Amino acid sequence: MAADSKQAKGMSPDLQAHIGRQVRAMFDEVADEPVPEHLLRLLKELDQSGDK
Amino acid sequence: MPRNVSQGLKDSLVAQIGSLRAFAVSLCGDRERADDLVQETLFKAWNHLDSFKEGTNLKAWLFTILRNTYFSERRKRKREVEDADGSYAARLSSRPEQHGHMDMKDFQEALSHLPDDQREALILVGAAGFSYEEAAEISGCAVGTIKSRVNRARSRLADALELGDEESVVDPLPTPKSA
Repeated sequence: MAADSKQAKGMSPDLQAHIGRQVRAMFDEVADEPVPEHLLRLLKELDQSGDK
Repeated sequence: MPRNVSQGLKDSLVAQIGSLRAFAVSLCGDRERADDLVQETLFKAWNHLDSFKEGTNLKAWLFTILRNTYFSERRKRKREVEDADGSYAARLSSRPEQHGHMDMKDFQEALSHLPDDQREALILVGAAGFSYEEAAEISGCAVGTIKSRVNRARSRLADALELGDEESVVDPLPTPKSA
């Protein structure tokens, strides 16, 4: 772990910020997409099967 | 099978699907498989809603189910084909280009070469908005382990991006010339 924190400290703040932005951008790109129909349908079906 | 699932809980479940998909894609690098994973997660979650305490962290609970599903399938598969990060990288590079940013593609490529546990830690803390403590609970490991994985992931990505080519995360040290 000591080696890791040394490595992290050695990284330029610009690069670290760049990596942070990229990780979030990549994640958000998918997260912000509309929810696929079939997943919503699945929940609806599960919900209805519970009613019986 | 849960009997009366409150509308509020249903809505919260739906509200998490986007993040779950994003997490699944970053874990497995394949959108179709990611949606299968999310589907399985929702199915399992629904059938175990009784064990979820309303008011506690639903997002963390769902992420835990998803990553456990992913890793247990992966362990099974790994026994069949020894193909640690090769298949992920291959899927990624054969994927049709979806966006023009060269930057983003390089980044995804580099990310795909990270070991699973480091990629997971980085996504949980760096993108999904979990604290180190929450991420540790989701991954079932110590907080220190998560911190170290995140640091390692960051420095490997930094190395890869600084080199800026397809050699990505391969050990940056020069190969010793054999005599």
